[in-house]
Amino acid sequence: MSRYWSVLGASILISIAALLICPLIGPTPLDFSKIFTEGSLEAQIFWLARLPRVLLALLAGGALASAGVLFQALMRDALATPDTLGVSSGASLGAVVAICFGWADSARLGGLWTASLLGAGIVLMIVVGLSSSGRNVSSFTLLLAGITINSMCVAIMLFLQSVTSLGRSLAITRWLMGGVDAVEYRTLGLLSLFVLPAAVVLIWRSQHWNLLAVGEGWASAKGLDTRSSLRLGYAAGSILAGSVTAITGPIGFAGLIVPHALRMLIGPDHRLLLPTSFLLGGAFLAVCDAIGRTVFAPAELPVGVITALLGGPFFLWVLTSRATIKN
Amino acid sequence: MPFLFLFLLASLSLFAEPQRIVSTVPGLTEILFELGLGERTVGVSDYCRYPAAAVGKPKVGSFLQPNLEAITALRPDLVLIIKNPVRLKQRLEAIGLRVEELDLETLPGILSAIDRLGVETNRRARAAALRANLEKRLAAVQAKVKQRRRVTFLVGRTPQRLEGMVAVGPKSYLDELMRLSGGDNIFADSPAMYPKVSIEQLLARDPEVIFEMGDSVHEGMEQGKYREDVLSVWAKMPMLKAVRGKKVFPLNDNIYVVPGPRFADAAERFYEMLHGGSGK
Repeated sequence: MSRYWSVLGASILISIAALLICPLIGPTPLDFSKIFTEGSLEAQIFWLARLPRVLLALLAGGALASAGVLFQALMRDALATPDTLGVSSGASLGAVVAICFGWADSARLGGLWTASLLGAGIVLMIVVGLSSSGRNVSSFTLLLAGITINSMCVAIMLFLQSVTSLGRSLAITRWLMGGVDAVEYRTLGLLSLFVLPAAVVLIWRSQHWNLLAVGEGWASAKGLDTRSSLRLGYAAGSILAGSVTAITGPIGFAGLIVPHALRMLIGPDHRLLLPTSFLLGGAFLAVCDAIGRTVFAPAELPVGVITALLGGPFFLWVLTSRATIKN
Repeated sequence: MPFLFLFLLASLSLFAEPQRIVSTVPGLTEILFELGLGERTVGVSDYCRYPAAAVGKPKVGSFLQPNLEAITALRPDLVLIIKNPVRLKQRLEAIGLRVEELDLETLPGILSAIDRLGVETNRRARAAALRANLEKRLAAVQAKVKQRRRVTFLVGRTPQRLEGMVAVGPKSYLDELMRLSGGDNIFADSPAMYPKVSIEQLLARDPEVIFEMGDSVHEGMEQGKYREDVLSVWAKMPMLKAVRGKKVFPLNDNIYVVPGPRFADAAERFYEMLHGGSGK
């Protein structure tokens, strides 16, 4: 158990370090002594632009990475990601519909986010419905269903984009680029209402995912109510992926490489893997975004560009060095 | 005998005058109408909204996604396009059409496009007059500029939020127009022509004036409601000089985004918004 606590402790430290250091990184040089001086430019940039952004990255990266870990376990498929079940595309489709039909136009409604969550929710119900229907639905069927739902959502988005006005089609293109930006604290509060409980439930039930990752037969032989566990798992994972996508737009890759890199580094035990994925996934996205907002300043790169370009080679290195050790 | 020759030459050039013109770009459509060729314009792009007479013309897609079938069916003797990454000139010429490729990316480009269309359509005098008038108006705006103001022009943002903002960067047509009208683009040093920027950049560079076209979903919305909506989003950032000084200008007129002969109107309005007073 001492290894458990040392790995977890290290992850917590890295995550806290990201929270403390990333807000200090950015295109504008800041005199940090003035951060607490009310009305100073330093304070405005730190509290309005940097901190909310880093907090969003920590939450979003954590949610996507832990959802990735979970889906890989539940479907016993290495390529499963938060997008695999179609929940993220559902969220994207919701946002696109909102932009198209003008639900996003009113400042009071928050129509974009509501529609996006609704889209994720509908896909989630289809998925959970499939996984808990009377027949025994295999994870393979769910995977295929997810891919189908994905393609359908993409098709509807393309359709809407091609029939809507130029202005709305531009807004859609921008939204689909995805990325982390300085959101309002209210938005962060709302997002954590979804993300934190879902993450706690996932970590709480880690032992269940350990059993399910081996196989459903094995899990039920061990006395686990597999059906309700699966339902809970898919619901929590979808809430994580859907609520994040509703705010950031699609961010690829974080849900794939963070879980795999960690699985290779610390092993497959979900009791450790889930919390570390949440902590380090967040730190990873926060660092990527700090780079994305700095390197080409004043222009910014969407965080997905950095996650793929920085995370990709690292992931390949982990893959190959792991192979060498085995050999 | 020389008279007969001249007569023949003149009638030849008359025959060579295009009678059925298709324009795939709003700016080129506007030039055609300015040259008095509205009647001969038989097809326009999906995005042509000006002048009103162009709106009802048959649509042919856009220069990036042209509907080749619709273009062919209109039996044009001249198709106007701009520089594009989709090899449109070759594709149209392959189906036997006469194509003129022009450049509207910069102000000098627009002026020479006017000249060139004047030659191609035998409207040299009108083209020269149009060009002279535009140059005169632009020079008048430039002459008025007494001081410079720091400005940004936002062309994109998440609806109802100050997130996911896209600004006008250097080397673009709008950057050029703002500079001529006495504005210094705060993102002139950006490596991207249309950089994605965050609120941090706006706080740090604190523009005196903000031209706001970011909420593109408001296209066509009633002006008063649009203004109110956009300004309510900015009211959350009272620390910005432009917000305090009431110098955030919600724009939703396509003169700003159609590179074409109305650039002088845009320059005059830029001047008015930057410095107050009349730009004319």
